[in-house]
Amino acid sequence: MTNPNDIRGTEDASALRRRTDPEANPVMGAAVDDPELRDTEIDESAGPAIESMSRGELLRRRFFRNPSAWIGMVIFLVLVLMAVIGPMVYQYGPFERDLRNALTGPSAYHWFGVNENGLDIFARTMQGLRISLIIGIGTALLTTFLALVVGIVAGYISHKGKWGALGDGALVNLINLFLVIPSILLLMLFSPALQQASWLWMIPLLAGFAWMLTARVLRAMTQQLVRTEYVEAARFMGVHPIVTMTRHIIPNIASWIIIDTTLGVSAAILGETGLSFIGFGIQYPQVSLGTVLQDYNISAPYTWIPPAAVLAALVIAINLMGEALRDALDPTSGSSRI
Amino acid sequence: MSEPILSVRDLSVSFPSEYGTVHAVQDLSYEVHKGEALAIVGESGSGKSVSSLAVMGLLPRTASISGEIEMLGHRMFELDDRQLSRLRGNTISMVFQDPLSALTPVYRVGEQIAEVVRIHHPETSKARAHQRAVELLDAVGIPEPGRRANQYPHEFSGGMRQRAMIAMAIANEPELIIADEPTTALDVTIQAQVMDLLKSAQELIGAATVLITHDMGVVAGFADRVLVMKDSRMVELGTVDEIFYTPREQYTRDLLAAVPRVDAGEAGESRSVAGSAMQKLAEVVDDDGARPPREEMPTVLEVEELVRVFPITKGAIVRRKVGEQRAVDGISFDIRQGECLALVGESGSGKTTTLMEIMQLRTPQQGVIRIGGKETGALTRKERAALRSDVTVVFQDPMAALDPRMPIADIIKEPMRVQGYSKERMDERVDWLLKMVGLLPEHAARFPTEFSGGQRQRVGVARALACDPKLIILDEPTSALDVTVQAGVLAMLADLRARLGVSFLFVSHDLSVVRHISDRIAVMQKGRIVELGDTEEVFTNPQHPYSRELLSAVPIPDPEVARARRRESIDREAFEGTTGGFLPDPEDAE
Repeated sequence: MTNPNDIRGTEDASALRRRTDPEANPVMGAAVDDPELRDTEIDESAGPAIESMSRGELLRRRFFRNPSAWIGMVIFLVLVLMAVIGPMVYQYGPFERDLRNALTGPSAYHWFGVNENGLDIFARTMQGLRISLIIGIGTALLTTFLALVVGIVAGYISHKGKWGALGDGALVNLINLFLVIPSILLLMLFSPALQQASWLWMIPLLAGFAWMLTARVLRAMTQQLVRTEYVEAARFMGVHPIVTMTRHIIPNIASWIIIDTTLGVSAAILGETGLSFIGFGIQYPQVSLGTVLQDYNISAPYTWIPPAAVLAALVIAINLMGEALRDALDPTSGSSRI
Repeated sequence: MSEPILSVRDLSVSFPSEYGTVHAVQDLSYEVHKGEALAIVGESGSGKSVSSLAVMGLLPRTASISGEIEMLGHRMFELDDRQLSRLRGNTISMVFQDPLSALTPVYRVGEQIAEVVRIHHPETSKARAHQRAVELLDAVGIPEPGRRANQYPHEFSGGMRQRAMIAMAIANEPELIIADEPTTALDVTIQAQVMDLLKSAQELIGAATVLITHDMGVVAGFADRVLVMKDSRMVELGTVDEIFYTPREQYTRDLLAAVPRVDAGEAGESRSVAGSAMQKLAEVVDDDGARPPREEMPTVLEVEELVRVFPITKGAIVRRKVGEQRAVDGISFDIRQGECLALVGESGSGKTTTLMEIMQLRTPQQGVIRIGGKETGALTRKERAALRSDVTVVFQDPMAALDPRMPIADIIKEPMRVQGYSKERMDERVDWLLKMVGLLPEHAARFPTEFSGGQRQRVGVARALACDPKLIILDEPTSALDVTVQAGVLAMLADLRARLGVSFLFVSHDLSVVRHISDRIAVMQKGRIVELGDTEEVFTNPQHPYSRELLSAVPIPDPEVARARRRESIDREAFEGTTGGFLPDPEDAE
């Protein structure tokens, strides 16, 4: 690669090189023919050199090497397919009553049985799974977005003089405010009212009380990155702050964001089902896994074991994938070694 | 020769990794005899540290080791951890690179030294051990040892911490001291003191020493024998004079030739090979044709009476000022076109603050900064944005200065994008810039992690050159690089200056590097410029005492010169203490 001819060929061969005999003076020759550059040249003939594996390839290998990634993905895919196809092909709907068979166990017609109100449990579980999945994923994405905006802005401006520190302080206090208000009470207060409009209101409502911790972590990570030399260099080049944030800061914390979002899905699902179970979540005419569980009859296990099992399988699958993702993206975190 | 204290035979160490097995050390054999100082020299990644950790038995469990290490008749690999612990600290002790992380921050320094004494001599009373700690601190030249022993590590300066580490290392009169880059984190004047101290401590207790370093200058004054390592293998082993005056291997010669020398002017009289390549670099810089006198060249940067004061505040809610730190205290200098001014000083002298003040392009607290004749305080937003392309910066750490998530083409394009270059022009320039700094245009799509340190620094320089700047500020551009790579980068910089006529402000703590590249030198101390003059004049005839002190502290890679400069610096009486033979007889210690 960097052999002297490369530059000597150009018209402007320097005074430096004209006066230097590479034979007599190996290191001077190294100015153009740096031995170190030559050694580390990443050519294909060198076999499996360290650099030959791209980051994406490395991540994929690390991820798929992990058995928990496979288990998580398989369970999650099965559940998603069930949630999508189940209600399409199943003969009963979630609110169709079959009172003649009320409180009977699983049969060829009612796969998971019928509860005491004559509602088919399989139909309700699948419909509930749909709703819970949508709310879980939607909430996690919205939470991440909110946390990203607040966290990165706060972290970025905290070093920008007096006004920056003031703005950072205001945002941190906002985070603290949201952390101390009793979110469960507010959720119980607002949820039934907003349900009147649409069940989708559940997403912003849950996200509104879940973004704070992520935002704090993102703020700290941004503060660290702002001090790195490449962000400093961008500032000295006159790069616009928003461009700096999207081009330099977000890509460098992306792995953490991805992991947090994945794990946030299971947290959101648990939050939503919990609320629904105590009656403040998803309301008629929608069902979630929580409302299905609400109709339990302790003496008839088939009324509550199927939705509980589906819920547990969903959360476990997502967590398995999240952990595997963390091990792949951030192998030094040591989360897998207990 | 006497029985070897430590003998290493066919040592190989390898680690498993994502990319297959990494061979850190291969077939290394050496012996260290009583009272002898062996230096293991190599560039980063040559396996020098791993080999010494193996001797201490401190390698991580994942490492697979073969070969044999014998220490005073003990086979190290056959000992269990408990037996090894008895050896560590008592017969072998270690001085680490970073004294801040090697001392526990929550214990007093005296306690930590006393602990080392008491662990290996449990019969010693607490009061006696503390007294011993004070004596040891006194011996290594720490003023007011009684008071200092009760202080915590953060209250010590870097040099004092390293002294305390040495006190700890010699506390039990070990047979072998391993010093792993003991002065890399220290300023040059402190480095000289610590190396002198280590040498005299070693001579005092008659211990064998293994010094691990990348710095040939340090080696010359310290070692009896030198072992050169490269790519996990031994290259050459010989006495210090052999290595420096008649090296057998080409690599040793290259390594020595790349070492910058502060005494470049009189190098003709030296028999040492060291610095021969850098010598030529200096010549090229000096006589690149008949340049017009400096007064006739246009001024690129002018700094007048620049002051930057940081308030020291106290209190969390109501901040009140309790004092101030005058980081930059009224400095003035100017840089002409095509000139290289070196700003030299130790850490805390205000170099970086000066640089930041210039790069801010704002009104300084006091004084004036003019770039190309324009005052930075009076700029409009637009002018300031345009000026960003005229003054660019190259950072010290090539690992941190490039965004790891961007291919280098995008990194180099970034300043051009800000200045609104067209897409075709950017692509064209990226090719040209990469060629200019000695990389291939085909590399443009690669990410920074795929490059070595020297190559990354070249990318950093390419980015700085992207918009045809008038002035490049180089913030210690080579201090994170290995010496042969440093020589390459310096040569490239000298070449760029000769070819493109760009001016440099070269900030550095290393006088020997600066000597080869700069036209003029400004020596900074405590926020002031104490001496400013032509490089040659400052080096041959330094006016200010601080410049003289700096110059005399720079290690010289020539064993004869280095030996002549050494001074005694351990206090023998204090070491022997009030009781003299305090330590039990060697038989008891077994």
